[in-house]
Order: sequence, then C-alpha cells, then structure tokens
Amino acid sequence: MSKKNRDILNDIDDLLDEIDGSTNSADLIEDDQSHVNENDWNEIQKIRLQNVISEDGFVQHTTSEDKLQLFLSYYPAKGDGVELTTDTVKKYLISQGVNSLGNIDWVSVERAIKVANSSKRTVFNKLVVSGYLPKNRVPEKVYIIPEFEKKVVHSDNESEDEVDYHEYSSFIMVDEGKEIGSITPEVSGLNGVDVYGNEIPFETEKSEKWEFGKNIKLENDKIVAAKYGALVIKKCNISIEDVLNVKGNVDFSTGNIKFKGNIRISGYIQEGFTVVSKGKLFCEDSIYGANVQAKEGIWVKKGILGKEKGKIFCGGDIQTKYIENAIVSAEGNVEADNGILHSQVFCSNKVKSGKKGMIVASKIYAQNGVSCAQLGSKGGSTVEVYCGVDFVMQEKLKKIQNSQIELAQEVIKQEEILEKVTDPEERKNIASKLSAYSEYKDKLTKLTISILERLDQNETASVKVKGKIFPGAYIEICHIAYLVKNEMLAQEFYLDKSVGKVVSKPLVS
Amino acid sequence: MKKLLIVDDEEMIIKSIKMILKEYGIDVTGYSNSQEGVISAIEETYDLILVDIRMPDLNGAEFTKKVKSEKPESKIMVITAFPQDPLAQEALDAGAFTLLKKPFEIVKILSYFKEADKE
Repeated sequence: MSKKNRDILNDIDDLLDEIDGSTNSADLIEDDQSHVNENDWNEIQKIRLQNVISEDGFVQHTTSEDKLQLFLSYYPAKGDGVELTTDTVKKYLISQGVNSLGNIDWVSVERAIKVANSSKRTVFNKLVVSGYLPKNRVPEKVYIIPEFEKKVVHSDNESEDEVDYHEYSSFIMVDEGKEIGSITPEVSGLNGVDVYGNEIPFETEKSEKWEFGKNIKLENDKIVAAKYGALVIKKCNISIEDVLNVKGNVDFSTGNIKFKGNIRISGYIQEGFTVVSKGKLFCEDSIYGANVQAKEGIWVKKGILGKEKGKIFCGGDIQTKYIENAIVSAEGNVEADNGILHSQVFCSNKVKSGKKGMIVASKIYAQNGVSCAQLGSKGGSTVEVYCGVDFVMQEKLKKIQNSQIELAQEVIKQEEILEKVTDPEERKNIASKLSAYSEYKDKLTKLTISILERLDQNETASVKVKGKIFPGAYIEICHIAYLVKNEMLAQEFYLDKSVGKVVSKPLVS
Repeated sequence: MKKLLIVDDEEMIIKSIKMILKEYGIDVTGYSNSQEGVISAIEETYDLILVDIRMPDLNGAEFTKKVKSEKPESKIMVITAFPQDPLAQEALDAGAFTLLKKPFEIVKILSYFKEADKE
C-alpha cells in the first residue's frame, strides 16, 4: 500500500474513533464516499478489497420436502477468490448426488452466476431443477348410470304436492338391452423422478373388482341387460334376476311392485299396497288388504285377508290356506285349504277347500264346481254358490248391464220430458241427447252379444260337500236354483236335465 | 221373437227391462198389477216370466202357485234381492226355476234364452 493511501486510511480511522471506536473502516468507506473524490474512492475500494479475506464463489442448495424441486443460492467470490462458473455449479451438483444434469435449467443458472459475479451479491434460492410425480396406475373401473344406483324410483304421475309413498319402489326393473353402465379401461402407471434422478415408483389406485353375474352382457365397453328382470347391484356384483326376490315384506320399505317375471316374497304383503306380476307370485306369509295381480298363478303360504279392501286377480290358479273378507278372481282353480269366509270368489274352474275347509257367509262363483267340507253355518249366515257359468265373463257382462239399466232409465226420463216440452230449441237438445244415447245403447248391445256368444256353460258342474250343509245355503247350477231348507250331510248337488232342476244325492267318498 | 212377461209393481223397472231387452230381440209385456199379470200369464204364451217376490196384492210365491197350477210348463224366474227370503223359497217350491237378484241380472235372462235356443 502507498504511503498516501495509508495516510488517508489513518485519517478516517481517527474520525471513526471519535464517533465509535468499534466500526470497521473498510465497510464504512464503502457507504460513505461523499467527502472523497472519485479517484480516491476507487483507490479506497481497491484497498478495501485487498483488506477482505479472499474467498472463491460457491453455491449451496436446498430441496423441497418432496425432493421434487432443487434451489441454488449463488455466493459470489470475495477478494481475489475465483468467480462462479457453470463448472462450479456442475461439480457441486454432482457432489450432492444430482446426477441428472440434463434436467438442470442452465439458462437460469448462467443468469444467476452472472448476477452474483457482477453485483457481488448473493443470489438466493433459484429453482434450477424439478422432478415429477409418478402417475399412478388406475385399474379398470366400472361406472354405473346414476339412475340405477338410486334405489328410489319415482312414479311418473307424482306431482310436487302429492307424494304416494306406496309408489316409492326399492326395486329397479330393466328391459332387455338396457344399458346399465360402462367400463373405463385401465390407465398404466408411470414412475416419477426426483431432483437426484431417483425413480419414484408409481402406486396403484384402489379399485373394486367387479363381477358380472346372471343375465348381464358386455358390449364393447358397455354393460347391458341381457334379459328383462330386476337389477341387483350388490358388493361389486351386477346381475339381473328374472325372479324378483323380496326379502321381507312388501310395505313402505319396498313400495308397490310391478314385475314382468315371477315374484317371491319372503314376508307378507301389507294392506294398501299393490303387487303385479306377469308371471307367478309366491308369498311365504299372508296378503293383507292388498291389491295383487299375477298372470300365471298365486301361491300364499298363509292366508288372504282382504280386510274388505283387498282384491286378488289371477290368470292361473290361486292356492292359499284361507280367504277372508276378500274379493278373489281366478281363471284357474281357487284352493283354500281351511276355507272361505265373508268373501266373494270368482273362478273359471273349481273352488276347492281341504278336509276341514268351510265356506261360510260368502258368494262363490265357480264354473266347474265346488268342493268343501262344510257349506254355511249354524248361525244361518248366507252362503251362495253359483256353478256352471263362466262367471269371469259374466262379471264383465254385469258391468255392461248396469250401464244399460242406467241408460234406459235416462232415456225414459228424457222421453217423458220431451212429451211435455214445447220450446223448439229445448226439444232439439233433448232429441240430440236421445240420439247419442241410442248410439251408446247399440254399442253396449253389440258388446253384450259378442260376450254372450263366448259364455259357456258347464251343465256337469256340481257342488260336493263332505260334511254339513246348513239351511239357508243357496245353490245355482246353470241358473237353476236350489235353496237348502234343512240341515244335510255329505251331499252332491247337480243339475238333473231331465227334470230341469238341481237335485242332491249322497256324496260317495 | 222371444216373448217375456214381467210383473213388477215398479213401472220404471218394467220400462227399463222393455227397452233393454228389445235390443236383443225380446218382446216384453209388463204389468204392475199382479192380478192382471196372472191373467196374462195364463191366457198368453210366454217363453219366460219374471215376477217380483214382494208386491202389494199378490206376492211372487202366490203368483207362481197360481200360474203353475194352470200352466205347469211356464218358466218362471222370481225377482228378489235376498235369496234366503222365505217367500223366495216358497216360490221355488211352487215351481219357479230360479231367482233373479236385484239389481237386475239381465245377463241371466239373456243366458237363459241362449241356452233355450240351443235346445
């Protein structure tokens, strides 16, 4: 150092000592050049630098917690130290285990080095390399169309204000060919890489393994119903049951049920509910005041208790333990083991009851005959048995006939009015009404005639009673009446055509 | 054309039955007075006779007895709401071959004529 410069420094030191004896003169000089000319200032800077300990430039790094980002801080050289270069950075990174130098953002590194070297200031935390997360493997997934995942199906007729909870069905019926869902294919996994070049293995996402059961088919990636039935989705298993199995009762938990196939109910059918099957219906308990229809047959393990509300219609046979306070109609046989009480039974074939089966206080219409253990009761309650005629058809005719009677009475009334009325306009109106009635009357007549033609009679139909027949029991065979006057035992009632009467004979067991 | 006699104290019923059965080609004669009805039943020939079980002057059972005694071949249906009515039993005993329940079982009448035609 020249003497001159040394003298300048000493002056400054003295000045500092007066203010604060602990401050480093070199630092202060850097910040305060107001009283020093430029040339001197540059000289001072040189001195200062000469007084600082020389240190090479260096870098330091930090990584993110997940090791997917690496940041460098660039410390410039001090004194006569070697400036930072990209080689410095490379060597450093390699020493830290960063092997994938190809991923380094060298443009950013060079920029940071330049800034650090020129400004002599540290450049902190610059991102130089990023890794990437693995892409997890996604196994094949099954997507079910939302409408089939819902268990509640609203009735079409439901308005916002009226909700009939009977119609909230917990069963979903699907038609053949209906799309139920789809399969999304598997997505392969891809390993990730951290900043050190280490592989991050991918994981496999959790997924349920689906099974496609009965009556389900796959069409490309679509899941389709192979048959009409009840859709059952249970723990990753999809199937379609052609027999609808109701575990428990038909009540508010199930809602009304309509099914094109067979229905099996392990419980009872509650009052007020409707069950319709185009196949057979099996009920392991009883039917209480419900409306039940089955095209092929109804089997009820216990009884049918109509509670004066329930109606049962069947295209085949009905089998049950007993029938009470119900209206039952069958195109096949009706078998009620223990008997029929306070009911109306219409049957195109035979009504049968078991060894102890009684028919009491009921109206039985059975085209091909009746057999029971007891007819009527001691109390004299009315029992009527009609045989020999197709009553199912006859019931249809009765409905027409009621319309005919109402119509006839209306016509008579209008004709009486017409006789008294003189006003032409009024007469015209009445005439117009009568013309309309006449047209309607013709239609009803034609309908009646066509049904009548199909109304067969079975003159061999008989009523067989193994036990007692009580007085008051009324029997008709092919419209020929027989009224039981005295108590009888074990008789067969039949139509004797030769005398045109219903007669009885002892029943041969 | 089939001929039918109806004896019922309610005029409206007679008129209704006449109107309906006319559509089926059945000629209906009606009397609201049972005495007049008896005379007509005996003097005329009818394919079927309908008589109400309960009428002011002559009930259905008595009517049946009278007609059957003079014309045993007559086919009589007794009109009643209650098959267990003792009078209905009397009428059946007197020779009526069946009961016709109220409200009117027109089907039964038509069915009868259909079977009669077959024979």
